[in-house]
Amino acid sequence: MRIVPAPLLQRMIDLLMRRMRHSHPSLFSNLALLDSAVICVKPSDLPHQFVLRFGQGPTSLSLAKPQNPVSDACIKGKLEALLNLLEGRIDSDMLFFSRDIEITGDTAVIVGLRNTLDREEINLLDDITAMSGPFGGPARKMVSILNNAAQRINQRLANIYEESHPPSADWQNVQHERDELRNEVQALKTRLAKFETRQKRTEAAAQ
Amino acid sequence: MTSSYLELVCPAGTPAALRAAITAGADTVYCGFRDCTNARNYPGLNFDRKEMIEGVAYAHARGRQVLVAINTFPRAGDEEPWHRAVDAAAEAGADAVILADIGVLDYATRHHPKLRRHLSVQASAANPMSIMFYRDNFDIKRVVLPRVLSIEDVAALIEQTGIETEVFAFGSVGPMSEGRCFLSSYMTGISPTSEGACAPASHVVYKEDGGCMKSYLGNVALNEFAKDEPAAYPTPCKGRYVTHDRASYLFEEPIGLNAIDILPQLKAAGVTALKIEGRQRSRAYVAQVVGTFRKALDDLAGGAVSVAANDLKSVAEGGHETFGAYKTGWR
Repeated sequence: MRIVPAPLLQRMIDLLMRRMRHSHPSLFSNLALLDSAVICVKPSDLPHQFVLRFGQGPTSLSLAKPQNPVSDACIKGKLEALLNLLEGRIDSDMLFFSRDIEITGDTAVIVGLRNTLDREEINLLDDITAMSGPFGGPARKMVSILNNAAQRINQRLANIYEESHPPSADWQNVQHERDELRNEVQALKTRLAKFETRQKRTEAAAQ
Repeated sequence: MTSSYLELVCPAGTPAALRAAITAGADTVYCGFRDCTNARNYPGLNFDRKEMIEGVAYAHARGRQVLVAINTFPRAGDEEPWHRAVDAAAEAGADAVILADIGVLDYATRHHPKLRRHLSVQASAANPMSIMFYRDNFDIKRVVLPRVLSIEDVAALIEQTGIETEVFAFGSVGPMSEGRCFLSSYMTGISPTSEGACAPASHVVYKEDGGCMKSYLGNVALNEFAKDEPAAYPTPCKGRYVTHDRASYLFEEPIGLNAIDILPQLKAAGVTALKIEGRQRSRAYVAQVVGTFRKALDDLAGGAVSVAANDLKSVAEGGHETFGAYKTGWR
């Protein structure tokens, strides 16, 4: 997609949106129920950015242009992660915890979109396969490549967690140690308070 | 399908999640209407009446059950939405309603006496006197226990009340004062207990600042995450606050509850059902967590003495897991 010229990419997007309106009518009717919003979608590994409009009117997806109005919210992440979210194949909170996606702006807009997308069982490859015309072939090839990449992201996330977090038992040991330390600190604080009280009484008696 | 070991009660924020939960092996699914009558009132989430009827029919056709959570507290003088929700759950053929408010419990008892009633965790009933009050006055058949009890506490409570219990097996850990927590109300002016949203998305803001991410609830800065540091939910109880010049998690660290390794002990305590939390999570989460617990329960029902290592850490908040109060009691 890096080398796809913007006009050609916009044409492919238009065809895909038309196809999806046909195959997922409830998705578009549910998007129309949301408050009007403009979301900027920023695939971090693409030169393109996209503008998604929905709520109280037709839903549209277009390439971002300099003259686009300021968006209500932005979502940023690798294209594979964004496509996995679109298809409901990966948990968005997990991507949020791991910082694989970033959101800024009006969080309610993003949450509404996420939940509305998650209501729909979308298979982008099926929709693209159903596309006809001169863009069907290249688009199918592109999604096939992305699908392979998408398989890798789950494995990568699992590896990241394995590497960055100790095994459960170790973590529970750490928790246990933390709890013991807290108790110890609390006991010392109590002893200190008693000691200080006793010291004040002694000083008062001496006066 | 009803488990011979422990009933697996699973979340569904959308019809797609309901289907995912059932496919993954849920015995029972719980969900709510698309309004303030349930404690997960977030944009785009939950079921309208038609979806609820279809969801119940889908579950029943596969031998599963559906519980409807109507577990927020009516605003003074505005009980109608809660009454309508109880009526709609009964009309949809729900197997039970999960209630918290005594007025709503009274309404359901009087108008739908045959509709089974469960006591929501939002009622924070954690001792025999409280539970027996609800049992004796509203004939509740099951109580969802707050996450403040040790396994020994749970066993003693079951012994004393003789009532079905449902305990949390996977989800979050916080101050665990559901139905009585005012932290979010204090920061947003919106009550989780009557509006159904703790840390409502409309008041949450994330800002990027040189690779760091900052989260805010209303005007209050909740947290700042360094580049690549795992993020936490933007709830007040998971905020990292500065006291004595040091930022720390004063209430609770971002960590997830996972009881999968102590299922035999929970069974031995007399627990009836396990609750998976996460109606606001995606259907991918539902499929992964429910599938993992289904396998564990089936293994145990088949005679295994323990479950195989699970791989749920990546979907737990903060990527860390704890047994919560089950092993050590509450602080």
